Amino acid sequence: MVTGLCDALSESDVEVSETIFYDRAHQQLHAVATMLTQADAPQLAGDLLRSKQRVEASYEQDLPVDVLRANLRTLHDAARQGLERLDFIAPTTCEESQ
Amino acid sequence: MTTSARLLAVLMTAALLLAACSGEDPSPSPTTAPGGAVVELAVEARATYDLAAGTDQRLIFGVLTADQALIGGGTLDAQVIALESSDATSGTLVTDAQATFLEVPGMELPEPLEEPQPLSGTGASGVYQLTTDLPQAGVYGLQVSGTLADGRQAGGSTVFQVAAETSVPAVGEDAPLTDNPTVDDDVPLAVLDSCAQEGNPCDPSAPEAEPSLRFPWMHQVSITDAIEAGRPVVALFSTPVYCVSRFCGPITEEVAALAQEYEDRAAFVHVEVWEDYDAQTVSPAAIEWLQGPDGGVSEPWTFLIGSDGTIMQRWGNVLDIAELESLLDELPAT
Repeated sequence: MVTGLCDALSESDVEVSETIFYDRAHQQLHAVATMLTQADAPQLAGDLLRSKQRVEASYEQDLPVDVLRANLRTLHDAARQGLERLDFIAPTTCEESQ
Repeated sequence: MTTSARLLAVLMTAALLLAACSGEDPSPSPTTAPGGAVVELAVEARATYDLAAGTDQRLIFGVLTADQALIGGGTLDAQVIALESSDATSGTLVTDAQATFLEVPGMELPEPLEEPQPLSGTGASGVYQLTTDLPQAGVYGLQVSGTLADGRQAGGSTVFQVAAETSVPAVGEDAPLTDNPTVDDDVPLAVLDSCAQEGNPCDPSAPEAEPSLRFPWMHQVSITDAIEAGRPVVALFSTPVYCVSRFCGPITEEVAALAQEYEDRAAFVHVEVWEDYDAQTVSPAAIEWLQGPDGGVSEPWTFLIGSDGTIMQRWGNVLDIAELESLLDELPAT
């Protein structure tokens, strides 16, 4: 999931980036949010889902690439924090995940 | 009709075919084999909410490959089997039908697919659906098979539980009279629509802007007021920001668009599921309508309520928007 977000972030073609996001991160983000609510961390789940919504809307509304990337970075951070709360090891940056 | 070990037949056949082709133990690798490929599918019957015994029950299920790619398009052969228990190897066949692909509204395929295939890269999402009788409460099996677009045979199975009675208002029942909040109430806008909150998560082009309702026409009347006015109602329970179903899509946007097209046929009401997500407070209206026996609330749900207050149809999780449109077309303009 984190690698998928990083690949979506580094992809210059927005359509390809969107495909990567939906194929490799979207569903897993839902799963992490569900696990966070079950782990009594609804605020982290909320942050994650709000960040995910911003990314989806950025794709949907064809927002400028810099806005999309900023929202993908925020989502990456939210996902990382969520995974850490669930005791998964997640790279801090996309560079670390390469 | 009694059937022997039908539930596991697809998986067993797949495993045996693999063994015949490869000469290896059939158990570890379910996906492909040279010259006679078989694809093992995962079947997610959990996509159907609130299944209960009765006739003509709507069963929807997701179908995925081993690497979690969603399958869509065309039809799949499906058998529903009443089982004695979840580990039974025999049961009674109750339905043998073709399941058709149902796209998630707003996440349709660019073009219809005549045969099932992975949806990766299409941006589309959906489930397969069929109608089945479910004679009694208990455990059922669902086995699915078909030929993928690339010619490979595919199949999978799952078991699912059927309750004695529905816990969410069902077709033919009176709609609960619910005073869900509207634009006339002094409540935070996010209580009406989770998109209308600080930071505007649904409109990242204006994160600093004052939150506003995207579809104010969906929040003009309560369900009670609409029913008491003698109008049919389309009641949508959804949470645009916080949906966690695998088959989430822009259902609120799609129904809001329908509301403008069919405003002369019915009142359209959107009920936000969450009053406060971070505090895990579900809206009282969603609790009244959607709370299950375990205390949880499933979403999204769409209900079509007749002018007499009786529920005409309901769709849990994935809305069949064409069916809703067809039913709305039959209503008189008011």
